[in-house]
Amino acid sequence: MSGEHGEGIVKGPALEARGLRCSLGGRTVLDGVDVEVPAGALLALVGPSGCGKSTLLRALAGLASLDAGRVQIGGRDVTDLVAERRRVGLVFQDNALFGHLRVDRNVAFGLRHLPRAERAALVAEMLELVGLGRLARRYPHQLSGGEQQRVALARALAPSPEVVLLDEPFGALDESLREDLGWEVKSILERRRTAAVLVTHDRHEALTLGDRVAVMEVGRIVQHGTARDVYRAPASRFVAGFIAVASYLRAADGSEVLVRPHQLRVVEGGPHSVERVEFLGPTHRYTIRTSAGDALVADLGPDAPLAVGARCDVEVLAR
Amino acid sequence: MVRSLRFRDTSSRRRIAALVVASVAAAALAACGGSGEGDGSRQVVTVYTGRHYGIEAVFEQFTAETGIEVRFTTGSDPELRERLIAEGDNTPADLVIAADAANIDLAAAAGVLASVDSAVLADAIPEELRSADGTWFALSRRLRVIMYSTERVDAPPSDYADLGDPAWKGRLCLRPSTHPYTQSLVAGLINNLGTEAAAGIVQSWVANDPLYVNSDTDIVKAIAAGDCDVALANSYYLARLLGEDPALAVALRWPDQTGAGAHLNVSAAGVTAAAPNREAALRLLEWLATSGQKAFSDANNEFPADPSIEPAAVLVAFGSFTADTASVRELGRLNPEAVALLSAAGYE
Amino acid sequence: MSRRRGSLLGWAAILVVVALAGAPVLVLASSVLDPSTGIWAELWQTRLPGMISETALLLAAVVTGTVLLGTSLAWLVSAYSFAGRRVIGWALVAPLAIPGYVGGFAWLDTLSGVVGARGVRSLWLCAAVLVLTLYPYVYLFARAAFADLGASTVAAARGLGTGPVGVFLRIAVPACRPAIAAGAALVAMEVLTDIGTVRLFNVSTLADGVMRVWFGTGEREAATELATALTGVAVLVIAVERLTRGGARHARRQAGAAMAPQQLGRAGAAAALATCAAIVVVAVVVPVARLVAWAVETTRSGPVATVAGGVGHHAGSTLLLASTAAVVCIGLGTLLALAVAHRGRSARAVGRLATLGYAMPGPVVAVGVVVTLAAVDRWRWLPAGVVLVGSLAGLVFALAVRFLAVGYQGAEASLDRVPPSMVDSARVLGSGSTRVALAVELPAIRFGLLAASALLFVDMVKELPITLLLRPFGIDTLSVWVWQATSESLWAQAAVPSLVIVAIGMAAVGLLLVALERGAEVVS
Repeated sequence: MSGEHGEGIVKGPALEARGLRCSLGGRTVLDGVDVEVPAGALLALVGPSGCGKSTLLRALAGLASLDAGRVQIGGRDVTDLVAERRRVGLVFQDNALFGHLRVDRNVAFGLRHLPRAERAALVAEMLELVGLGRLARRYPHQLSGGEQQRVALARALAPSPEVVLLDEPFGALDESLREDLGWEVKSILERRRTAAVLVTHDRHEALTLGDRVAVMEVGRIVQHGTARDVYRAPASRFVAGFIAVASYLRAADGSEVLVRPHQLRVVEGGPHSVERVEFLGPTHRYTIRTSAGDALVADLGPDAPLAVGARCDVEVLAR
Repeated sequence: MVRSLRFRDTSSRRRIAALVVASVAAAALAACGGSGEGDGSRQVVTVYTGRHYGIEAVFEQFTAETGIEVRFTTGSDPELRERLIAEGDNTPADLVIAADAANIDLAAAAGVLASVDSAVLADAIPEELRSADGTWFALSRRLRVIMYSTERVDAPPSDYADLGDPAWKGRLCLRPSTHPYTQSLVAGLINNLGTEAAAGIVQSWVANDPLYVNSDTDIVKAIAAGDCDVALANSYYLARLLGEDPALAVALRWPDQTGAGAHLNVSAAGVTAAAPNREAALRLLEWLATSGQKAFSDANNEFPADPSIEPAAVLVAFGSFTADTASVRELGRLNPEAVALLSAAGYE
Repeated sequence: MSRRRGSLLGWAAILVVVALAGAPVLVLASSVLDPSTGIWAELWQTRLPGMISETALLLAAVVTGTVLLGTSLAWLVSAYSFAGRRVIGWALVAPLAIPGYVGGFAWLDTLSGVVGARGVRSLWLCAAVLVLTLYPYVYLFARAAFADLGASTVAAARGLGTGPVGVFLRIAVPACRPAIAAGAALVAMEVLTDIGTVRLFNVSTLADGVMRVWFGTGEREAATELATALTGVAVLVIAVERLTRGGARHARRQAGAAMAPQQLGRAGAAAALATCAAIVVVAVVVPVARLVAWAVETTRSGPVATVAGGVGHHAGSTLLLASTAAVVCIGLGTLLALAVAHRGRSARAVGRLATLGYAMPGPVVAVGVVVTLAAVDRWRWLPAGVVLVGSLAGLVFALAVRFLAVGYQGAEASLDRVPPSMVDSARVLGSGSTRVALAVELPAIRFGLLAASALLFVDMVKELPITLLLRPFGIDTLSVWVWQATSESLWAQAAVPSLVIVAIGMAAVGLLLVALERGAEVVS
């Protein structure tokens, strides 16, 4: 294993960025963004398309230029360093493997500074790590999409970067493969004790894989915390709705209370009406139009499903 | 324009890479090998020549007789002249040979030819066939004559002006105005008859709806094939084609025999103003004007500039004639006017 | 802030290449600043209107003809499967190897026998001959674009009740419009700068007018002004092509499987093969047969001493010059494209200046280069005895000025297809711009560069006016031999060198096709 990390010794955040500002073609893309990733942790950066999350990643890697702000990687200020000197790993959705190079040469690409024998050993180790030792001499186009993505990860990890940046790495894969590969990548990163930033627009992926989750909205990070915090105590209606399906109940004093679908049960008969019924497998999801005109989403209901248009009422279950 | 092309298919790639490497290496090797020229020990004279038909053998003969090597590059007269003007003092050219009097005269006017004072040249070349200031000397003569079909024409036209007779409407072949031969002929008409009369003649040709053929050989062939009945072409083309096919039903007529004479143009040469090997250049020029003149003229079936030298046998067979010797030195000066006149007359 | 260290170096590379390639063109174009009004008034009253209308007619006819012919042949070969498709698909590109001036005189002679010497000299026959020599440009681009057409798109159209003709006209052609327009723009460039073919057919175009004014009257200023105007027309053509292309920079490969060619029945296959074969016969076999007949004739009657050295010497000169110049063009073009890439629109605009030589007739570029090199020679800072005019270096430089566009645009279009993420990955893995270029970008575009090199090589083998004016002593190419014979109307004696040119060109065209089949992303 690489000896460059003081193993198990926590020495401050792997990545820390403050006050990042960036504009492209007159449009502000990053508007004062702060990011912090503790050593060995995985930060999931989630937000709708166009919110600036990919630009943020590129700025951290040194590929997009900043108007203001500082970036520190492993305690070292890299703001003025070009991409090739920042020592970060990068994995793209389209894997960006070098098509003219074999798998092992791809992985060795960032290891030019090492002596030949050491390089070969490290490449073998990385390929074993991602479970592709037997494919070392293949060309990228001879691999499946999942295998290609693993090679890309091995290539990014090989130079032992302080932090790996993953830009929608599973976006191009089948759903069934996505989840498995997601967990595998997380466990590999944990074994290597490498910090990572995972950019995704998939909230499920963000919540399940991220030790921490940052939610972005038009150039700003609007919430930053553990997955549990973000889910349970969203900072805004935007976060609440983006991270999971959200309904709001009006309290007597006029304030609104967030409820998730599993906290609501639909009962037959009442002032409201069923607008839509979706079969989810174990349950049905009801969209209810209240007499006040609000929409509520509930996952619990009677054994025999209600029909669209049926009169109904809603009960709130305790958390 | 970005031009993107791609076919789908992927397989082995090594062979291509090897091919590229091999071809690049070959090119590099070839480039290194190709740069050597001239070993310096032999005397060399460099020639830009607009006359290239059979010229190599003539130069070889010169080298055999004098030991002076001839390096030459061929091209069209005007382009070689432009190159000479651009190169100025740095030109490698010692001698320029042009296939047209106007072109050599334009070069002289641009100041790239040197004045040569040589008794040999003055003796060999008649005065009307060399420039007054000694910048150029004619080496051979050619005549632009009337050609006609011996099958379809009983009374061939006798003057250039006769080609404008409505009788020849749709039966006339001419060379386009882009060619120096046409320009030079019209310059001669201007010199002899004045601008207005020359313009009248050219307009009468154009009114006959001539077929413009961009090659004298093809003009003779067009007569033989029945595409036209009368035409203007240089005499030596007929000589050459009769050599190939003695039964060719085309004959020539010397024009303007009662007037200025048949239009005469020359191949001429001059020593360049910046000649690096001036002495050798003069030697070649003098040789071409004397012992080499017959070979130079015969190579293209032209009449030698020196009337005392016997022309090629095929030319003798055409009979004797009067030529417009007086206009030769004026052709360069009148060339722009001739071009403008042709243009204004709608001559293609 | 991230700073690109190679930034200054890259801009320096751009400026040096552009200055080198653009200088001769700008030297000529600067004459516009001091217009010579007299000759213009005269030209305007005499030939200019005719030249403009003939140029416009010829351009319209040839572009229309090549687009119709090239696109339909490409569709036939892409959308249908029939016996002999591969071979005939190759053979349809073969006219690229036949220089216009050779095809021109072979055709002129052949057609004269059919319609007579008067009938053959028409703008329409000239256009027909040009269509037959130039359609492969459109064919190649259309074929490449059709190969990228998604099977699902075609299937969807079929499902909506569109017949085969409908799929071609309503789906394939609109989808591949940018590629077809790119091919058509190339054709337009060739037509605008052609001199050899139009002269043979007595068509008086603007390019021919430049030659008339320049070499007929020695009016260099007026000629260069006309040449600059011609370049303006060419730039306009490019602008029109860009507009036609719309928003798409180039046709992206559609997602999913490629369209599978439809197997034709016996009658259909025979008809398809016969159609393609007929075109090949007309475009290649007829002129080549005419050349072969001439070649036999001259060997029987014994060679006439127009040139010394024979086929070996001339072919050697041609190969040396063509490969050197092609390598230089592809090298400089790639360097420029790499330097321009990732530098935004302004860099691209500057880079484009280096391609102006492609929009000028060869003889004009030749004289522009002579004037420029001669000026350099006069500065006398070169080592003693080194003179650029008339040197191999000078000639290669001139060819680069004229053809850099082919190398540059080939490399640029290939680079456009390299995913930006690939370059970013390499940088993040510690590579500076030089290593990114050498280890990632160049390998990724290698087939595109090979294809562009092959096309350049063919262009160089066919090139005449620049080689004629600037060749060093001892370099006598096949095209010069052809010129020496044809300028004396000795068509038969031009046959042997013409056939060798065609043979060398065919070999290079073969290499081009191999490159394309192996996945060349792009050709010039």
